[in-house]
Amino acid sequence: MEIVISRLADIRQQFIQQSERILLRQDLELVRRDWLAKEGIVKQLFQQLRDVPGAEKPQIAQALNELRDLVESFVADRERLFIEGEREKRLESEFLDFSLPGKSPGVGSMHPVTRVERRIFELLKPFGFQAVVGPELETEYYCFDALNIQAHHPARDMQDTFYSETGHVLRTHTTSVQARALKKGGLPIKIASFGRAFRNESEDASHQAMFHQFELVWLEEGLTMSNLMGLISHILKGLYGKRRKVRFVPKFYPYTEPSLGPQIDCSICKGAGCGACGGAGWVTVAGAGMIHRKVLSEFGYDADKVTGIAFGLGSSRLVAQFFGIPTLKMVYDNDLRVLKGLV
Amino acid sequence: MKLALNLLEKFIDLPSTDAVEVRKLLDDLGLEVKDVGHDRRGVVYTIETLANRGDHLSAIGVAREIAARTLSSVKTPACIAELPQKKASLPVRRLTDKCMRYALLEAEIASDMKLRSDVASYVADAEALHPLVSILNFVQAELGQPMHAFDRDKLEGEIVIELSDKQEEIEALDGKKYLVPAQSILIKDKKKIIAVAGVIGCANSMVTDSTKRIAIEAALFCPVTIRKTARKMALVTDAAYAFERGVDTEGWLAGLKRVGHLLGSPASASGQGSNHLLGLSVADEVVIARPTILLPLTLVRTQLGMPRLDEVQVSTRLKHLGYLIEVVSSQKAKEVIQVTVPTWRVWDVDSVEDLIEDIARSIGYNQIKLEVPALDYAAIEESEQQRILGRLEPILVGSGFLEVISRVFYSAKEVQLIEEYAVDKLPKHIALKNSIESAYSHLKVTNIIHAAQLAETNQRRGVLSVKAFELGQLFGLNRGLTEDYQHETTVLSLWQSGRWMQGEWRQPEKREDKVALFTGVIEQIFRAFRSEVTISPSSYPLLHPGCQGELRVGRKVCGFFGQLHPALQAKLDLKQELLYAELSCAALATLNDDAIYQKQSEYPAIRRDLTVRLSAKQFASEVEKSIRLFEGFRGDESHILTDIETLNDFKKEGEDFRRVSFRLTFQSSERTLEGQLVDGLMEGLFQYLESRGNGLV
Repeated sequence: MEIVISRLADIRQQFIQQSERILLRQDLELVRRDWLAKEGIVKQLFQQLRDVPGAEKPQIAQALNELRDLVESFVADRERLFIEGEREKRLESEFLDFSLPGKSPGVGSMHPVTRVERRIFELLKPFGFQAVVGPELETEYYCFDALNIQAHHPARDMQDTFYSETGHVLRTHTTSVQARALKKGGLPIKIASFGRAFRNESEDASHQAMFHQFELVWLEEGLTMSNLMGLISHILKGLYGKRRKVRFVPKFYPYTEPSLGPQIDCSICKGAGCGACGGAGWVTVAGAGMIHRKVLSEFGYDADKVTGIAFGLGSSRLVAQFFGIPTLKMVYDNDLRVLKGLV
Repeated sequence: MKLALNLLEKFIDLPSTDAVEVRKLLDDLGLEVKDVGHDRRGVVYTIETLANRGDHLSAIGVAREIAARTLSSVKTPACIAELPQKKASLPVRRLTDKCMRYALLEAEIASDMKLRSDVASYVADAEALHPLVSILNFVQAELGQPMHAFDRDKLEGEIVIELSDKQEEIEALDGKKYLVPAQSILIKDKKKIIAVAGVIGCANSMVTDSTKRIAIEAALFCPVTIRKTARKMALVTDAAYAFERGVDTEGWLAGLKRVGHLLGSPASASGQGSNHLLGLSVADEVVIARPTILLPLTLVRTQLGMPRLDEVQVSTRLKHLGYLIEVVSSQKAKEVIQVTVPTWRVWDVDSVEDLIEDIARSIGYNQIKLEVPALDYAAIEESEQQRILGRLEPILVGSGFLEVISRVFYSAKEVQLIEEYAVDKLPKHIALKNSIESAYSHLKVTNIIHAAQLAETNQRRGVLSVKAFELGQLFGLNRGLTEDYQHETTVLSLWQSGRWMQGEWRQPEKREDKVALFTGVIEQIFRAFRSEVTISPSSYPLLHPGCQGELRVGRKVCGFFGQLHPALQAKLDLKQELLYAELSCAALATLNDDAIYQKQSEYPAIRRDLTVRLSAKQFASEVEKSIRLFEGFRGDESHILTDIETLNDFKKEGEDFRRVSFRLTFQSSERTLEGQLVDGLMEGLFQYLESRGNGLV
């Protein structure tokens, strides 16, 4: 028994000496083959255990188990180390400079005018408004006559309106679109028109020959001025924020009567009065009114029964306000750096 | 209009004399204060008056609005009771109805005439003007009646008011010469034009320090005629501004009486008291009716949404504004009042709506209760343009395209450039007859020039990747498809120049890569409308002859695309090539974009590749079309060819043809296909293509 135990101690010492010489993964494979394979030392020793007398068997078996565990854990540990080392080496070789730029077609964007128009339309949808469009090269009838803008009105001056060789005009407002919708008849009419309008004027930072307008018309029996003002207040608070104050002042427009100018409190001075609002504390942001009896009659509506409300604003100016674009000119400058900045 | 607070206070007791409070009141009445300044008079408001309210251009007019709001009384200034009975030395005769009232008041003035201090305190620039002119300006500021003073001793014979039949030249009070257009109202004496009515007087009859006798003109002229004359002369005088908007039809009388008081009274504005009124000449009048309107109170209540408004409230407000009121029917069901319009409102009031507006203003718009109309989710409808844009947005924006809005105009130079290449091949340009900006002489028939200009400008600014699109109108004589849109059509244009990708550091983009990416975007656009686009040869003159194509869905032409013609590119100073496409929105609108579930086959697909030869300039799409037309795929088995994919386009050096590879996908929705069947079809296809000159490689 003592001989067996001492022999096991020698074998163990022999393994330790061999394991200390292992540098490569193939050396480890040799260890696995010599010690753990079917014909390996550990297996052979376990086979000899059958010849050991019964009383000594447990002690010898325990020593043998310890040897086997030692070899197995060594091989497993060393194998793990080799794998980790190889992985580290591979990862090291796979380095990529992630600071290099990516490749992308870039992200585009809708024009700020379109985005503002959509925002307005979203506010109108719950009321059942239909979006309509009309020609930009318009007849004088739809642009002026049908809207109670008489022949001598300043708006029809050659200085203000583009007249084309076809006898048409470039529409000076999107109200002409509404005139066309009214011409089609029917009740109720709930339409919103978004689009370009044109003025024949010298251009500068804040005056452009082309700009965008939004207008709505609602025709129905029983609509009142308080409906008009309620709707406008809803839209303006939806656009500018519900904490903004809204008020109304009298205005004059040929196709509405009464006419009114919705105002919001100045965003800069919060209503106290500053240079930006001319000291008023309020800024006029739109035009509105009850559709003029003459306009209703022009389109065959009984003005004693049917009333109409109209509201419009310059969406280009709204864009300038919303996005902080300093001048109206820059809204149409198509500087792609600016447009990308607003994505 | 400038309005001094101290002058306003002469006409009305204000609820508060605090300048800020008065401003709030004026703003609320629609008399928008643009500026609050100070001068020797104290606080002075600059008011933007309403375009239809000539009566607001005076202190009394503003006072009337305040009176209706505060239900107080307007104070009228002192006047002489009667104008002189004696005829003036100069007779007046009116030869045109464009002048509706005309009177001349003659007076002798003191040689040392001075403006009295209590009047001077209301006049901003008293020292700079003749005292008489200051008085007339003062009375206009008070009552809104423009008046003009002539030096009586510079006038000869009868004074005639007539409409000119030709252009005249005058030297005006300001020392400048003006051309007065035909159809203007002229004031003439026996020998000369002495004033352009309602606009400006002439230097030949102006009052100077040596003037002893004066003739003061008070008149009423047609607003439209005055506006046209002033516009054509490019003159904005206080008189013209007032006459254009319509002054009080009886203002001439009130004005002269007030001037008479200021001139004739011992304690008058003229100081020394040695002025004498000499006589008065008045031309015959044009009758101007004061409209009478029947106002149903129910209409007032419903329009304003104020059901409790009663007859007393309505009548009181209107009376304070100067209307004459008579109750026609006081029955609850038919409450109607008859309203006669005051002389200072005959120009702008002729309907019940005008009266309702006056009532609303006097009550205050902000006193009306806001009532948001009822919601109605049933009828939401987008416009065709909104719908198309909604479909395209994910494709274009996701590919890095920015929406832009370009001008509708082209200059004559740009038109010439286009027509040099494309005369008779594009719709005829429409010219604008009166454009102030020379660059805006025509309406554009294509967006390609603006596209190139936008690319050039941005590349010059340092933008390396230009990708833009626009949905907008293009014009052209009779180019439209409907009567309403006779000369215009809506088009989606998109273009690309420079890099496609944001960065190009690894390898430069090849021209064919960019064309393929651009084509890919166009294909995706049509797929958004559940359609496959085919590209066929085209000959658009503004595009590169070897790099362009026509876009079709079935037989319908939907647009075109290609590379900007290099010669045009050079003329537009564009350094980089430009790819450009125009798609007809009318054509897109006819395509189906409904998203409907489509059953997909559960059986395996079989793929077969083939490479065919194409001539150097043959479109691969033609071969694809041939494959689809192969009768083997058009019979019972037509449904099994589910896709044709173009894999490669290759040209070997030294060969005069190209090799184009296609991958065909076969799949049945009913069974698993046998390879033998597909191979048999492919064999037939090879022979078919060979017979059409596209043999297998």
